[in-house]
Amino acid sequence: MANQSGTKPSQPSPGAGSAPVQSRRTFLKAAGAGVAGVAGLVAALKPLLELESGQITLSDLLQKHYKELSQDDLDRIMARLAEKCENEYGVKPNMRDVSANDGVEFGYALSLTKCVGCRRCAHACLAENNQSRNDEEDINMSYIRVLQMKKGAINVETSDQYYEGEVPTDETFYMPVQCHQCRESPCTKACPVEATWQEPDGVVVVDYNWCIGCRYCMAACPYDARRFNWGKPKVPQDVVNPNQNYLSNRIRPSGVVEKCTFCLHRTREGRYPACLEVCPTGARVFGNLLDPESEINYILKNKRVYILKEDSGTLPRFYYFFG
Amino acid sequence: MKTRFDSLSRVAWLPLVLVTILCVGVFQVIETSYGAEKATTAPAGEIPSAVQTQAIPDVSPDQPEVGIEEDHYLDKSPVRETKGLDLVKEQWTYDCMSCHKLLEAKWQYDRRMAEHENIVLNHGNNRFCLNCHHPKNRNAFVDYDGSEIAEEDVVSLCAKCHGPTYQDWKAGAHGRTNGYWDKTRGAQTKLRCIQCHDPHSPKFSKMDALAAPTYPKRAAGSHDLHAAEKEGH
Repeated sequence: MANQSGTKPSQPSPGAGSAPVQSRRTFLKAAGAGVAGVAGLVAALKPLLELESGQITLSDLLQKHYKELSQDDLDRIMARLAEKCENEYGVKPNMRDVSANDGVEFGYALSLTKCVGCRRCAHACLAENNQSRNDEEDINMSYIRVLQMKKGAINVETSDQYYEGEVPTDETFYMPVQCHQCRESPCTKACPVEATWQEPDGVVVVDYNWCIGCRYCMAACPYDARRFNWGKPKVPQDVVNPNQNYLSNRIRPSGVVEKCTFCLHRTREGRYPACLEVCPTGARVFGNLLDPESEINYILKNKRVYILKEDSGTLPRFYYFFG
Repeated sequence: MKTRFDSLSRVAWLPLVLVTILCVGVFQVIETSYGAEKATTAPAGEIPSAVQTQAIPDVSPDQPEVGIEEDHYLDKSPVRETKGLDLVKEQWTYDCMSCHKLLEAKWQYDRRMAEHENIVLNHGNNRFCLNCHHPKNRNAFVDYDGSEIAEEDVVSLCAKCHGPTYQDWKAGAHGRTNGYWDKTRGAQTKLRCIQCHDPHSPKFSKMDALAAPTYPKRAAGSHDLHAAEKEGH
């Protein structure tokens, strides 16, 4: 500015020569905003930088829903999942997809007289289904929660699932709760992307590659049956169950919901679920509801049977009985 | 002050030390042999050596297989390990009559059992040994009309009084079944009564619950709420 008189320079009029003060301010504002914007972009994209190569491929992103997959697609996907499991957890699994059998509808019953609350079912569930755990005693992801209830009423509000010590104690009875595979399941209605649905044999399944992790199903479930993978599952190599199934016990990715599937990789082949096989008192009974001679039908015909939260109208397949 | 010990030379200490060590060693040997003798008196459930004709292993491999072998990571062992009857099936000579043919059946009830002291009969109203055991043939059990029930058919013995439970067991509603629910695709293994219930004291004893889930910490990071509740805060 060539003002020689020494007086204060007057405010430049608009349209006059360049106003260096204004433009510097503008430049700094713009630069500051730009730096902040780039920093925000980099922070938002940071997970991409941490992505190992090969973790997500284009075919993963474009994978179709389970119900629309051809057999070849499914085989290819399962081969990739098996490879991923081997790379990340050190165990090459035998990945299968066991489909439902005709003429079979599963039912499960549990005797409240016989359950002593030992939690072997909850621990066996982890041994069978490859959930995430921090150490070998961590059953937070187990699909089964054993509730210690006060005798005299079915009051879940006064129940305690964190009990310890010798069981059974006097004045209490024990009620394990897991997914009831409801006939009118609220979770399948709540899912916005149909990542969970009911199979013909009654089991409600989740396609882990389709689930977006919104957890609406968890909010909808009246029985707190579903678990969410907040991070990448931690499964030590020595406890990985290599007999894995696409819809049930394969090791899930981070950010998806999982739940009890009545061990469909076992039960669809005619075997008992893991929780039943370890129960020391034989409190659990499982079978085919459509077979009139089955054990589960014997219970339904001959015992005092009830269901949890009948007023919610879920029509569960999991029955409790005394006797 | 000069004492008599001052006159002992250095060399004289050596035999004293050796004698001490010898005494200690002899004492230890006596103690261990005495301790081992105590251990050989039969603990509860052991068969006295007079009847035993062959050694019975600690962990019997003759227990029947439960469920499918590939489920080795699941603990399917029954609550009790039965000794006598499985051994009889495997042709071991577990022969009660080798003593009992010499001894008369004692018909006095409600007397303290001088023999078989390790067995405490705590079976509710069933206070009489001969309600289950056959008075003439101790290798068998007794039915209502006095006829024998063979040792393999011990389930019929329990069914004598526990009829409804027996019907439930046959139908698969009482006791645990392992293996295949679908019998057309594989075998089902059912446990016998005595593999869970000790016939002399059938009520289940308490067991320790396995590890509980962890109580979630408060999001604010304060101390564990459950512990606080227990302390009465």
